[in-house]
Amino acid sequence: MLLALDVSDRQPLHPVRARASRQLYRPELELCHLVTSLPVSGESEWLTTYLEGTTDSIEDSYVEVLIEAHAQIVATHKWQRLVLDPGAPVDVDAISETVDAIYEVIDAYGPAIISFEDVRSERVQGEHLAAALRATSPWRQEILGWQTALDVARDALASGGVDPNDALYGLIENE
Amino acid sequence: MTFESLPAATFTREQIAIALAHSPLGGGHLGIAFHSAKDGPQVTHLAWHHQLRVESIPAELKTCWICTTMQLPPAASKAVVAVVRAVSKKRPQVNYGVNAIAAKGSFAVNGSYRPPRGSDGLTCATFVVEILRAAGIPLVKYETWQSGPENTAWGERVCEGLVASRVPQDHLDAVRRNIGGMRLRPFEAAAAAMLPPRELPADYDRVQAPAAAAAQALLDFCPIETRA
Repeated sequence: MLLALDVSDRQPLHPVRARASRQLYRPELELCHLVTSLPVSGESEWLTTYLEGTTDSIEDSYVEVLIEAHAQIVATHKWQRLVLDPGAPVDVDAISETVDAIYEVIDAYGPAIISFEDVRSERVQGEHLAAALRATSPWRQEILGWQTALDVARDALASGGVDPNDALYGLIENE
Repeated sequence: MTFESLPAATFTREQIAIALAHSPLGGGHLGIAFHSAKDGPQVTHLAWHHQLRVESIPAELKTCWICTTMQLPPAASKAVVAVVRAVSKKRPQVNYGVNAIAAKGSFAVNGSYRPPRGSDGLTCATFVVEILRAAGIPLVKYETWQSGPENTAWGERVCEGLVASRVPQDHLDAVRRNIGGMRLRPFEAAAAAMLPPRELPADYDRVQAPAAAAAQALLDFCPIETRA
């Protein structure tokens, strides 16, 4: 993953010299990890800064990949917004927002863009995670962490006072 | 659960209702009623080939409808509403076809209609079944369904209608090849939707009696003479 060390010289329209670029930015992970892992708050902003500040120092094709990765991170943030917020509202309109965002990201990038590998029960809203699992259930075999996320949802739902058998109806009986 | 008039329906924003109307092909017509996020209650139904309709209740209803609220667990029900909303917003072009088995998974791709290989399309009833399948709710056990001569007659009427609608010849040929196959009648799908969640997916024998009751309820609420 490309992490900016300093964003104080953010100059979108003025290329940064190669020497400065090397000092300011460093690669840490492969891009494939960037697009499949759960984003940490703020990462997309750091990545945007890198793109804007160094377009003269990397190949154009690489920039395109980074832009695509950024778009995927934004889309991923969108479906995860309420799933990863234990205090998120759980009315039908909020649940619809999560399902719409999931369909949107799958529409754009396919089901493989979704990953439940890193969800933790103490960090999720159980009903939103259950809705996300329901919306992605047709691809349960293709999506990373789908099966194990059922257990995470069970724990989160129980912690929140919601019967897991109700929220996961149709999903756990089909396993 | 009993039936009620769709315009007077009591299902909440967090529930869906299975809606029934008369069909010119006979055997009833099926849809899903739900509350949209901003536009109030609506019913979505596959009226015919490439005619997926989403009508506001009651303003845009074109015929007499009845409905029964699906008794899903509350937490699951909200997510099912979300899936129904998503499919209805997309308003995909759905082929009308009779092969229910091959149509399994038609809405497995992000709420869009993507007919699986071998599928000739959906009926109003299998449209409802496939939306629910996409939402993780298995409604019926197709493997228990039975064929009958009345299905062949119905299939012929479907083909006559498709000819009149001037559908592409290859689609008509595909439907013709499947005539005589299993048919899920709208009344049977409605009957399955009336069952307690623990009894789903429903098998053929289990839904026959409530299907007959559903047909009678439609006649009671919407006498044939008064339908639009």
